[in-house]
Amino acid sequence: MQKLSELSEGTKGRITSILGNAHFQSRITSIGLTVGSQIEIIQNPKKQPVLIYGRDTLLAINKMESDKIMVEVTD
Amino acid sequence: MKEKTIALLGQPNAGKSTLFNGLTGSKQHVGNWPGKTVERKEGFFTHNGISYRIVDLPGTYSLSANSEEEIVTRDYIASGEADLVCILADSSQLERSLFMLADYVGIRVPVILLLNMMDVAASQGKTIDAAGIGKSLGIPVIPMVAADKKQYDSFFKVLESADKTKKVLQEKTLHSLYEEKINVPYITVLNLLPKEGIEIYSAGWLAAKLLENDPMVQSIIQGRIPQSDFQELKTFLSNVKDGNLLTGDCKFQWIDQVLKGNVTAEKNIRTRSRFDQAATSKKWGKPIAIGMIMAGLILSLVIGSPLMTLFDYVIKGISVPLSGWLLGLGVSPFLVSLLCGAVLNGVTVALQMASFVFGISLVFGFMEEVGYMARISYVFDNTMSKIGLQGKAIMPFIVSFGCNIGGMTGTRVIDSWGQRVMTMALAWAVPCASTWGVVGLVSGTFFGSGSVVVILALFAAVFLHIFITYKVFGRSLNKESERTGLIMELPPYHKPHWKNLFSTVFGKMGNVLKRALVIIIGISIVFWLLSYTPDGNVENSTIFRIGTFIEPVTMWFGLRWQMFMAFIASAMGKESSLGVMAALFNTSGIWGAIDGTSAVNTATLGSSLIASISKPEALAFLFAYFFNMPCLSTLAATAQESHSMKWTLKIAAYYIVVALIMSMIAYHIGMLIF
Repeated sequence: MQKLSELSEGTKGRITSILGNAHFQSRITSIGLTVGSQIEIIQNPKKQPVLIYGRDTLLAINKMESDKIMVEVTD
Repeated sequence: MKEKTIALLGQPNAGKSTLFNGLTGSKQHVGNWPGKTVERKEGFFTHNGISYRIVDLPGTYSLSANSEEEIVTRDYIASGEADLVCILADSSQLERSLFMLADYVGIRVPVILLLNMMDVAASQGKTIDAAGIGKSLGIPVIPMVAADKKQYDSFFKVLESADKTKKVLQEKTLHSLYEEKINVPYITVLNLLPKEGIEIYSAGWLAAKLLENDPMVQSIIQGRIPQSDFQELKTFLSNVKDGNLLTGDCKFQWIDQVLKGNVTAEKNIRTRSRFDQAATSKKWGKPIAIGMIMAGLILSLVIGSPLMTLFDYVIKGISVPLSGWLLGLGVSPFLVSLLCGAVLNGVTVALQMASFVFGISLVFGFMEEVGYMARISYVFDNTMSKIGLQGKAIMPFIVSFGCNIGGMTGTRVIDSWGQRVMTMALAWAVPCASTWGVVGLVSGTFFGSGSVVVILALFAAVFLHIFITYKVFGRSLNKESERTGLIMELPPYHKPHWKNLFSTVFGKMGNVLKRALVIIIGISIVFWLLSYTPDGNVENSTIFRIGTFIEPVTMWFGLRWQMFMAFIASAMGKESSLGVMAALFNTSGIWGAIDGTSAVNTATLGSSLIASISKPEALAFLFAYFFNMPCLSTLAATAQESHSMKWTLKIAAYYIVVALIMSMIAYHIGMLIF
């Protein structure tokens, strides 16, 4: 299990938990990311938000917030 | 006959405002939700003899109670004012976009689902069976393109019949998912609630919200169930962790079930265009964004400036014959001069401002519409985070280089109110296009080739200003604990809907024009009255007497009375400073001020400036002028966007004080140098 913020480009995985307060959790949920969601890392350069595909959408998530999303790498 | 009230509900970017504008045209009323800093938009339209009132609810991601917007939204639905709620979803990202609908399941107010942006979905190779989705939901589902008014027919048809059918979402499927997946916690909570629910909320909805740790729902329930049960509930809930993740998971599983068999995609289209890869890359993202922005600003000038020239020409063309005609009729010269000097000049400036806003809104509206704007926010996120903001705040800053009014309206995309107001407070420091006329003249006249250094010093001071402002307001407006980082979708690129784009832009321009007209004409009249003298000698005017009286104080800041008046005028509109200086320094020059720069003979003004004030005083004025609040129209725009007069005035007072401090420092440094 790794933090979303630490994954490298091309990694595919499944979200295993979402930390943080209720506000953050509901914000992340409402944009389509839930525990169990399949995601793919499109790019994750330093000093830029992580770019992922999840639920058919291209999403940008700030590094600080992606620290709170735990992912199990599937391939 | 009774008027029907419908409410629009949907996530940001689902196209709510497009539909709202398409339905109501100009019949809109914009205000605040009572006691809140949230905009309330209401509009009216009639179709087939039935009149409708339509309420555009704030764009929120869900129906939780985490922000003022969400609370307003939920309270409104609960108030029972709306006969029908229309939920909008973006068909090109249907799964994610249906989350709002999933959150609505269990609310017993009649609802219909509008699948917007069917054209984008089709271009992605998706086929969506709206009727099939409607069947599994138990409510009418209408595919549409909100930007295309010709497609509203089926929507209207449903509106007419929805009154009789009053369809409420079926909740069994989702609630059995809760029972199955969340199991014990859900069932325990459910059993403590009244079976029939409370008011518009079903027991299942309340139970899910309680698990999500929703503070408002607890207060709904308190008093509606036995006190012992309520205590038991509270104790139980305090041990439930991550409830919103559990319910969120169920909601998306429910969405999957609803869509199953009703959506077919040709294939998984996950290839990103070469352009998008470059536009989001670390190396090319920023250069491309900056290039696009520069091109955008230039283009908006190209679009706006012919309009400006045209308005200037037309009004001047009217004003001369008009004054001749009125004088011929025997109207007093005082009134003629007021009308043709102050009022018509005010109209010109207002029209010119609106032309500029027109150009800017068109160009940047286009970027937004095709989907590029989100990329700019993405590449600048890290930069903006240094001043406690996020990527979405970049556009207001950039647009402010053209016109701060445009910048203020651009803050609307930012998620939280605190960050929105913070962005406005900081973007005020960005010098707009009309700042440069005066800066160019004064620095060129006094410092010649040294003006490059002066301008660099001004820019260095801008950065300092932004940093200090961030420190001053950051603590209260944008608390560290409440900051939310960028969480944003990058929408697929798509073709713009020109008609819709233009109608939005014209709407914006109309707003600016209305406000600017009132404000500018008002100021023009006041300044005109103050400086009017029958013989045209400024020394007999009221403004001269006031100015010379307060000069001992204004000299603390290095500002002679004429310069101080120009400073005051610049708080109302940057471009008006030049006119005021011209009027006040050329003792013979009767009122030519406030009117655009065109009428001012800059060469004459330059020489009278050199004759009257010293270099340190010029430097002081440049700083005072540069850092003064942008203009009254920006103030009005800030009040409108922040929905808080209190904060707007705080920011304005702060800017004026800081500008005077800057000017004082510059004056004393100047005295050391020169």
